[in-house]
Amino acid sequence: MNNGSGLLHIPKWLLMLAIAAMTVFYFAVPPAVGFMEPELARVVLFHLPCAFGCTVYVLLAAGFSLAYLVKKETIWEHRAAAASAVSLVLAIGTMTTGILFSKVQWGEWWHWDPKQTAFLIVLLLLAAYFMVRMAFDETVAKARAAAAYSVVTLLPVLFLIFVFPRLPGVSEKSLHPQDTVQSGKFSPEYKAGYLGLFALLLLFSTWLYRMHVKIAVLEEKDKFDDGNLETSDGSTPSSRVVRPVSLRE
Amino acid sequence: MNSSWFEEAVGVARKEWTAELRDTSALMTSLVLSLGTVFTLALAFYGRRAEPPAAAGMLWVALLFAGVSSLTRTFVAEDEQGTGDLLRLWSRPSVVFWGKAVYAFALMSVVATVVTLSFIMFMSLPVAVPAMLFFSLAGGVAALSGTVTLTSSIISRGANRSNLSGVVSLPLLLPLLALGVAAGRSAIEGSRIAEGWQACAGTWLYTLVVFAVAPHLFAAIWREP
Amino acid sequence: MVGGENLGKRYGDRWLFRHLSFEVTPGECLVLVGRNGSGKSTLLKILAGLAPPSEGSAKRPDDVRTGLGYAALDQAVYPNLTVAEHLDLAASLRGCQARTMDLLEEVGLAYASAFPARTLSTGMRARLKLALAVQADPKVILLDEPGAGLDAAGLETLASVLDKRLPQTAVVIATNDPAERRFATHELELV
Repeated sequence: MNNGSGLLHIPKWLLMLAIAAMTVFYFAVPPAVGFMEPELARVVLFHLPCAFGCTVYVLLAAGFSLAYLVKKETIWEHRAAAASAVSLVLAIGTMTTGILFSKVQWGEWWHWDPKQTAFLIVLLLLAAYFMVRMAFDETVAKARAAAAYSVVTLLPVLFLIFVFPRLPGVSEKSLHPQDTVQSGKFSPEYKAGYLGLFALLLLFSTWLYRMHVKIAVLEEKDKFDDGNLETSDGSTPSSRVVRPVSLRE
Repeated sequence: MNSSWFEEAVGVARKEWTAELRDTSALMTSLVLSLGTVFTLALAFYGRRAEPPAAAGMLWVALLFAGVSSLTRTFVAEDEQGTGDLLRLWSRPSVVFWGKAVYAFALMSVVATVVTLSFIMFMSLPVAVPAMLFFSLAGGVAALSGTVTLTSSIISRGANRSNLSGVVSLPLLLPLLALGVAAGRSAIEGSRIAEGWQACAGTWLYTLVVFAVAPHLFAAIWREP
Repeated sequence: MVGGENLGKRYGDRWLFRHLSFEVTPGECLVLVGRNGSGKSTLLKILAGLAPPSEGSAKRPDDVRTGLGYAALDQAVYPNLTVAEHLDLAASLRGCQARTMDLLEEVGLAYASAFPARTLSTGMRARLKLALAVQADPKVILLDEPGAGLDAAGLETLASVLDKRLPQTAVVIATNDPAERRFATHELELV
């Protein structure tokens, strides 16, 4: 999983190919029934996988952050930061497609739909996570504060995504179709569409995530290894090492 | 938890109160800011009766802002004046967290009382079920104290911490706001009582979760092991 | 006992120090010297557990509250608490005896016990911080510029406080003052 950089190219091209195929399929799906603008309802095929993917990566980020706090190993901090970055991108994707859908199908940009509102708060929490990161320049302090915040946000995130939209008195106000996904009321084409896109999006975001982690690890390595580089005359180029002097007794 | 642990936590809380009461400018600033917020909200209505949902929402917004602006100080001021390291050297993390949280709760209770009573007065707000309003506010104040104590400890050594604490606390508190507003609305208009009590219980559940998780997280970040 | 193993600290791309391993046992006094910005204070903070190292690990007593005393030039005190209240609070949190008046006598601050800390001069604050550092008879004492701001009598007090405790205590001092190097059994220069 961590090596095999040569092998990475084949899956990458396969992934690109699959995305191209999916794009064609996306327009080949027959227009959905029961919408104001059936042709434009296809955005759901992108909206749903983004929301699922975002949830997956938010949970992963909190898990990695907890692992960092327990193990204090830098790799978990890189993983948590990368997972949060990917989930932020997916959250923005979800939000944008959601707002477009809301305008086209429900008539308003913002409907105070419980799911939409809850997701906006999730987006705010993710943004706040990156604000915390930006406030620290010392790497360990940054990692620790960010990890703690990420774990704190887990509870509201779980509540907002899984509990709040299903609360009695809240769920009936939702314009989101009730349990369409779980009860399989989607047409077979749509089901294949969003499941396929979800799988592809997971692969794609995992690829982004892995690159993010790899870059962070390389940057870290670069900083930590500079003192060990040897020059041609065998001395170390780094002058900032400690030299004990005049040890008496 | 043994008695010495309890005494130590009380020691931290008492230190906060002593320092607060000797320099009342911070406390007064919080109170005046809270009163100002309430008065501004009331002025927007200028004597017209607010609908219960709007009234409950405004009350909670006033509480949230007053709380975040005054509670942030618990840790941010400590590291701003450079005394945070004293507590790191002298005490166990759990003692610091609970001491600070108890102090935050006491401070926030004062602020919340002033905000709520002045809000009810300015808005001539009849409250149908005062007990529900009281318990939901008490639960909200406790959850608010725990949450802001934790978030301000997370960012207390960061840059731009005073502004940042609002940004990182508010989204965490929005679910609490939703529960508080639901309970407040039922309490004010006296309808949907069962739902109101559920939301009220929700604020206490929120408190429970915050105080179950926060001391552990705090211990992980407060000082080097 | 206090020390470090392969300690390193960096800010951004800049390493303050790296590959630093040492150990100070009771009876030893390590004096850290080096120009401004060489990382002396940061190293002391890492040893005290107030700042994380970028690599390596620090060794210090298990219970920092009673096992470690730390006083630094840039360490603030509570402006609204009195001198005596600082010692009382510290003792109640550390779970040790306060010995407030004894300690204040020792550092020459007994006359100021009821002064609020915000009215203290730099030298008086240094004495208060010294008293706080040695309150619990810690096994390890870490001092950052302990003589800064002290008058002649204050420097004598510092010397007597340290001489009295050195045999049973591991001491690390960071300083730019040549006079304070006289306590050293070992020296470490950060470059």
